[in-house]
Amino acid sequence: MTQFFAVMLVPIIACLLLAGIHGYLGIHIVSRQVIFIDLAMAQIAALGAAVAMLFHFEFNSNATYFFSLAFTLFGALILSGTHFKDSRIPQEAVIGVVYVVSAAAVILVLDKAPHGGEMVKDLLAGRILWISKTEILTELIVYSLAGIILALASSRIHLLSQNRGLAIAKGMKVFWWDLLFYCLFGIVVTISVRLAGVLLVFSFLVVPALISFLFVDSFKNRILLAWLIGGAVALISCIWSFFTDWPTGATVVVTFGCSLILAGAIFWMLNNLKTRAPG
Amino acid sequence: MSFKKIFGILLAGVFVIGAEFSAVAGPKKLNVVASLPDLASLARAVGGDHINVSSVALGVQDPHYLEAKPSYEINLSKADLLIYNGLSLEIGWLPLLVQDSRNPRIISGAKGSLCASTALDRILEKPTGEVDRSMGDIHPEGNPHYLLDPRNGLKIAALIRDKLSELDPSNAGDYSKNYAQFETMMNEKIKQWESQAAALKGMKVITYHKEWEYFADWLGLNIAGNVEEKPGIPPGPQHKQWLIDKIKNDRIKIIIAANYDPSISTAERLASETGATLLILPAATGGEPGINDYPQLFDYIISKLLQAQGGGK
Repeated sequence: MTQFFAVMLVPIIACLLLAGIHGYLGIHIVSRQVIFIDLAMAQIAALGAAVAMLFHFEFNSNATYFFSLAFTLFGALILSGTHFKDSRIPQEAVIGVVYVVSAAAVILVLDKAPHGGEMVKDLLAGRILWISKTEILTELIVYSLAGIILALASSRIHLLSQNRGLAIAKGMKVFWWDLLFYCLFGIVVTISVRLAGVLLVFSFLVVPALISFLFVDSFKNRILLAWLIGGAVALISCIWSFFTDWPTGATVVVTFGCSLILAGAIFWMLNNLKTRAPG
Repeated sequence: MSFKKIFGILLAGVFVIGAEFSAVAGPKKLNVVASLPDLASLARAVGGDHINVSSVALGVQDPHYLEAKPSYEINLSKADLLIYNGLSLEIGWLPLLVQDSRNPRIISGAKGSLCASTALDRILEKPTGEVDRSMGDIHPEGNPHYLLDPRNGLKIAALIRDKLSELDPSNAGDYSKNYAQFETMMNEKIKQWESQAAALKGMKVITYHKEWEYFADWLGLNIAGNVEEKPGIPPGPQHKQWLIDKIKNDRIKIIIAANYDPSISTAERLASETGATLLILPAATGGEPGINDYPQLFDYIISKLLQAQGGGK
């Protein structure tokens, strides 16, 4: 048991933190129907790191972090600038374009960079099992700050995610609120992806949100249910991964997949029982 | 000036330029393309001025995976001889490249296709029994990283000598002479490396990928474990703990990774958690600035290992 805690305590805490912030952000993302935004943001941050390599900055230097951050904020600007009133272009398509173009640009930039190509790819792979205590601390601080700002702005951002038309009618400056949301989202996701990888972060964002959309309707309850599911899946899959010795990140993602199937089955049964009961 | 005249002048110009080109080229040189920079260096040592040599992969690139570029195909389409590592190392990219180059001289089985691994008399880690994907990204014909033993490099140089003499018999004498020079130099070097590395004999190390088995086998290093238990698949929690315990119990001081290995950050983490030193080494010619040929690769690796061992004490 001591061995279990020695290896798994830090990954479990990291996963619970991930479940916390992404459970909340996920509800917004699914409401806004911008599901793949985290992939686009992570990829743009990786492009920033790759460009920093091109200028011969060390991979773990502050300069590289700064490049990543600057690119992420630029991505946030693009995404809030392309949320048009008359949705001539679906925003999901813009997100897709941002993703593929920055992924391809990474390849081009690395072709010219002398070293470190593998390290940039590493940015997206994550290593939940190998997180250090300082990283956990950074994670905690960044998530808390983002969480506090989101909580302060919550009424506006909730309205914007749920009923964009009403928000515009009320005269809200949607571009600036969008920009705030996507900047915070970008910063959080960039850090998360570095620690946990794109697959894991995507699962933490989307799967708890989907399940809570199936079962509850109010914004608050959805967030609570998403936290519950994210935390439970994180805990179960980390324990499972330890005793089977399966790679941890992949185990968590597949467990999320299974939990969605299970939730779908329960939803179906509940609905069938409801319709049959009166007859 | 009539159209005919202009056309005539242009045509004459083309001929003159063409003639000049062939004059500069002199006797036609063999175009040799190697899949890996080590093989290119060996071919250069044997072929000397009689051949043009280029390598597809660079020394800083992981030879398991290579992003295709148009220049690769153009290079291969002009090749008279293709030298490749074999043992499935380049299976992800080379067969497609050869196919796309539409060059009949270098297709598998043709006279201009040379698999370097055929020169070996001993292949490490050849799996016995059935091989399947559950073992990870394993090579069914055995461990393909044999170029990290310079004695194998010498055998391959001899194979290249024979092949060049077959394709270009008029220069066979020079190829034999070049090879003999290279052999003398390498044998001296090998003796020198072995005596330098005597201090490394029996030293326990952890390596990232199963890349250093031939190197360790040559110098008597003891590889106690790999970070990636199965090549290409990240380690699970218990393997992580096993690695940490192993490093602490056996007092292992050095973790070796090739500079193109994926997820080097995992190895960095392991080093910082255990206090071992992570040594990121070039694993091919050109892998670091200053490593311009195959012998210099071993100069570099061995001096780095000795430094790390001295620093760890």
